[in-house]
Amino acid sequence: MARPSFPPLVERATDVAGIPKAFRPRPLRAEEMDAFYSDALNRRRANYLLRRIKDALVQFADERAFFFQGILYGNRGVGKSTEINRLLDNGDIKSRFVIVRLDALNDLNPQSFSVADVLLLLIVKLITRCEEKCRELGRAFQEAGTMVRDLQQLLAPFFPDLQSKDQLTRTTGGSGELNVLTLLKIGIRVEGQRKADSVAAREALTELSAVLERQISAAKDRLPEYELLVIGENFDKEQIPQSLLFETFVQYSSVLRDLRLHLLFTLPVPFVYAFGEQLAFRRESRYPVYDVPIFNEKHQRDAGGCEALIELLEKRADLNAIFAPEALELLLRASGGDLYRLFATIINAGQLARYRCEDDPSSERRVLQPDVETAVLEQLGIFRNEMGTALSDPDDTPWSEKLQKLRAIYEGSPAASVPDKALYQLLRRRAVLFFNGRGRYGVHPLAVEILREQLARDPTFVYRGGGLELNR
Amino acid sequence: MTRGSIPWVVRSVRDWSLSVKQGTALVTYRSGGAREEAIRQLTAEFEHNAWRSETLTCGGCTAREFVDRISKSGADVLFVLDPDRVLFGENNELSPFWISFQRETIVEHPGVQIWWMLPNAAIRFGRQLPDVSRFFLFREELTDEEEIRRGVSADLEIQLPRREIVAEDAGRGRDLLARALRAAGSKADAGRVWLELGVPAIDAFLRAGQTGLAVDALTKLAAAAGPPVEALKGAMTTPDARVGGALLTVGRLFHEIGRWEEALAPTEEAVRVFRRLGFLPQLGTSVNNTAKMLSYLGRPEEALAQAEEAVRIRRRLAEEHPDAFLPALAMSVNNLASRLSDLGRQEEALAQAEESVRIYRQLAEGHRNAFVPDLAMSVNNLAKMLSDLGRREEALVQAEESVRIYRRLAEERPDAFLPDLAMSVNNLAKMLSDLGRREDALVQAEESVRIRRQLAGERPDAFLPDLARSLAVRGSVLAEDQPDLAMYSFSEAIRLLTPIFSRYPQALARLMREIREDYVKAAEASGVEPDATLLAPITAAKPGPIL
Repeated sequence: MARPSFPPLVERATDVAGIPKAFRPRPLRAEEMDAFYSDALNRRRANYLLRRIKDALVQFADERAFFFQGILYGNRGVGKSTEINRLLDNGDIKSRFVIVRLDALNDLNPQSFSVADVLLLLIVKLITRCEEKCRELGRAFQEAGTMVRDLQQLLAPFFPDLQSKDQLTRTTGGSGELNVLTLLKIGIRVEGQRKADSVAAREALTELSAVLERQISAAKDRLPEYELLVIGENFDKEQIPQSLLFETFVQYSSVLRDLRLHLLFTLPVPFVYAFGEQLAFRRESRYPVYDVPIFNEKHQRDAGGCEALIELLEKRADLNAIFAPEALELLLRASGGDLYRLFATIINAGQLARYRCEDDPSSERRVLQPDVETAVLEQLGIFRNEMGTALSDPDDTPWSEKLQKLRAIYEGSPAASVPDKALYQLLRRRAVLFFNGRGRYGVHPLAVEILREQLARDPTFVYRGGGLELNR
Repeated sequence: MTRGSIPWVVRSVRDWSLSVKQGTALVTYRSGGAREEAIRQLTAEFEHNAWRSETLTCGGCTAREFVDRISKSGADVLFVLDPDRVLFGENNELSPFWISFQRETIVEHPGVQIWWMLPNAAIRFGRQLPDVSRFFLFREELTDEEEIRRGVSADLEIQLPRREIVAEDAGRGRDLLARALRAAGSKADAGRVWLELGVPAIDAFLRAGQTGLAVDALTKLAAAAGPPVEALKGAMTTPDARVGGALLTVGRLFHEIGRWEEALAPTEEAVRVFRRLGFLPQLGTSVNNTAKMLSYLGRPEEALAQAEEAVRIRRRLAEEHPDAFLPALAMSVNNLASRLSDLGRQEEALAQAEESVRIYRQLAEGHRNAFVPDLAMSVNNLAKMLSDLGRREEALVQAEESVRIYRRLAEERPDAFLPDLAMSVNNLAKMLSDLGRREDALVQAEESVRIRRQLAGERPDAFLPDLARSLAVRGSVLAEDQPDLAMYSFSEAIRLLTPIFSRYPQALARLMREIREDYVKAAEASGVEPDATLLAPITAAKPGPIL
């Protein structure tokens, strides 16, 4: 059975039963922005992220000279995708750009894609988007047929199996062309890693780039008032091995950089730090999305950060009706400012509260501290497991080094802020957070709990606050 | 003043325009820079005669706008630049029949129209639009030396590796150039303008095989943003591979148009960049290119040193990653063979040529289509090396293989491989003749002449020297038994070569000298006095170091 491409829309919760629909842990979509978007986090970060990116894009589009090639990097759950959605819904952007979105998780095989896949996907999506845009403007996009045929000539080395399927050869009519594009998209998603030996790799990329450039020329002819903007989303997700990102954005960085396209990609924080010099993206076009602090440098509650999160939550739920105050505070602490974790924990705690009420109808129909504690302990177990090193994990940093680094950051040692392999690995796992202002690092409250566990017998370690403060 | 030069074309077009006052002329050109200069001088000439001129570029206009702009122009002289772009489309996707219906409108323009086209476009225009083509009341040809400096010897022909031309549209280059000019106009950093937009535009034009447009881009952007090499060097605070790559592209452009001195400087700078970065693949490419440029500049010892280094680098790379770097190694080894041969070190050259063939044969077996042309090239060069050493039977075997491969390739893609086939057939004729198999040699020589006559009919500047070379080989085959026919063949070669030789005596001196000597011998053998009129222009040409 075909799955719907989008989950149901967010609905504000007025009781515990409404929690799952209110706190769907996915970025807000354009149609949800008015009701549920809160700029509280942006105000707290105070770096005018969206306005800066929008202004830069508008300037590049108006000048029609250089190409904007930017990256957005920040930890999971800080709101990158929501910010991108807001950006693309902006009137100034919509009036200047034809937008092509590439989703690393949904359009590519995140375990095995190659730069050739990214180019193929760009070709397919560019044809589709230009055709849609022309239709929207009441123009014909006659080049679509030529483009698809052009593309087919290149397919043999990449899609030997697809080449033999009938659908691929039926490109004379409109539906035939759609068949080809659909099949290609599926092929890119399912197969990944186009098979090209090392001799042919560079030549294949050159040919793909040449096809893409011809399509860009055709698109510019048909839509001369627009620039082309590619949004690469979810390239920062943990499912994607760093080696694939290295190939796409470092080893073959010139392939994407040399295209006549404006680019905005999301990349993982450690990757950006580790390969900063070698990335094709200019320094002034790298936009960090900072974490929102729950605790300050002295390990005391950061009122600004917590208020920003509460303001955001209030958009989605009647907080007084749903959460006991101490339960809400614990949820904030356990999230570490990570919206994804916050929403996931809320859903879990909400479910526990609902079961409690079903089993004991006399109990309070709100999320209580014990509900949250149970959910948080579960999160803590997962978090601890993720801190180690799996057998096939390219992260070979020993736990002792990571622990030492974690402690140094917690204790505010200045040298701890100098990035090294251990810090990158801790950032990757969100054990360490990165805040704005002076670019301060901090330890996630869940990681503080792990520190306490691990160093319980170390008399030199002093707990200074910033943990979960559980009752059990 | 020589035919085809800028002063010649300016005078000729000016005189015709002033005499007819209304009509359409066609000027074919090979270099964008030369075209710009000719238009600049013509504009000045017309202004001097109180004529108003206007230039119509039709890059971005529609067919309707194109016709409208011509018919509504009030200029006395209208320069129409590259109308083929609007007629045939950026990617040759349009059928230009519609212009036939507009021809009356176009020619009704009350002034003079001078249409400028590249030779290929003019040929296509003539074939597809004969009705419009006949309205060209006057034709002139603006030539430069870009394609003239191909060969210098009537002896066996060495072949250079093909240029890398990927099917790419010139539209990309135009878009990037327009952006670069806008950026330069807004006083953006010149280094960034060249690096991110200007050099990529040039690269796109070169990849599209549009050298003229690449030169145009260089000229226009240099005027707006300053010279590229200085700007690129200024953009580099530390060695930067992207800047190194851009310098290589600039060098490649100058190389393409035969300006070796100007090509050498950025290429040597690229060598320095990649050497400091330790990027061996790019270093191999830049050192290899430096060797070729030094060779063209007549510095064979330095060229040899560079060629040897290129082989050393690429051999090391190929040992580690044979799949990725064997092709580059084969190319460098092939070049090294030529550099050694330049210095008369034939035995060593032969060893290198043999290695090049060995590698290309191995590659062609694994990736048949991609490396077959390279294999044919290397086999042809091996035949030459063997022949130079007097090992004629072995040379013949190689020459026959080269012909066999090129014949198959030319059947599949005549546009791309007929010139190569003609070259290899000509070499085969020479080798058969050296072995005393004159009848077989004559058959091959006739075929070579026939192919090159056809090619020279389409692109005289590019292929007339080659045709002369084939005629000379045919003459040498005939010389012993039929000196009168040989004399006829040599005299035709001299007659065809003379106009180009007058313009580029240095480049063609050796070829012309050899043909003249053979002609004089054949005339003596036939008991005929050499034709003094035929030889006069050769004698009149300023003696270069060879003559």
